[in-house]
Amino acid sequence: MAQPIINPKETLQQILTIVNYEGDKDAFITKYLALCEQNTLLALLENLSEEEKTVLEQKLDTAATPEEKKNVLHAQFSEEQITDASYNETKKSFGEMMQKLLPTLDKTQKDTLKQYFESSAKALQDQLKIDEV
Amino acid sequence: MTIETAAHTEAPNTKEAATPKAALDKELAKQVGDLEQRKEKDPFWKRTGIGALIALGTDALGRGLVASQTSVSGSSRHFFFTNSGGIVDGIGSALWDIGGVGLLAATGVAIYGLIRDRRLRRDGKKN
Repeated sequence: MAQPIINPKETLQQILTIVNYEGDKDAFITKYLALCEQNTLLALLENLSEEEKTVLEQKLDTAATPEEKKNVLHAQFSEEQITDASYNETKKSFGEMMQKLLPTLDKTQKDTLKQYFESSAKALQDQLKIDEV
Repeated sequence: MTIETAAHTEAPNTKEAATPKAALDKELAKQVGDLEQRKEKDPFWKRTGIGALIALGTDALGRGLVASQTSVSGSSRHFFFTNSGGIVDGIGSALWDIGGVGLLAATGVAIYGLIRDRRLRRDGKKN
């Protein structure tokens, strides 16, 4: 039975296995998630006003090390903003990916992918219900 | 390999994608190209040199992803995504939305959209 969606890497591993991706799955996933991450950050930056960008740039200039600069960026955005941006960027990107993938799949692969998605969605929904109790 | 180098080493495939691998590789290369163009149009990205900083983040992300989730420290495992759930929900939501092109039955509600909204509300309550 397919595992429920837990994290991006496992999710993508499952999908690539189901569609019989004949290549280096880890390399593909690493590149894809790096793409999502950078699109997310660009989206976050695009939503800042010019004034906010100026302040952020000053903070980045003041930060001496890469780690400090990362902390500046982390502090700039709320978890909700990050979640929202990563959701929107990933949904768009992965949707386009699936549009190109689907015509290459046979019926068995489509059915298996559907089952995986449905079982994962139910598992996540149940998990959220438990968390909210 | 960072996303920047990937963009220069993988030229988009102009042939019709006939296999899942060909289709996915071709689309990834296209999206990497789109990303590079998006960066070029962002003066803040170019002016601050934030790209180099993010490249560090993606390298760390890459290393974290190929290692055990529990064996990599929090500081190097993720740069931005942490445990927000946004990327997972985005994938799930995209899968649901493409029901119209033949994969999923176009019935029911958009579960992942609801899940996302509930996550945000829940997190908002916590904050």
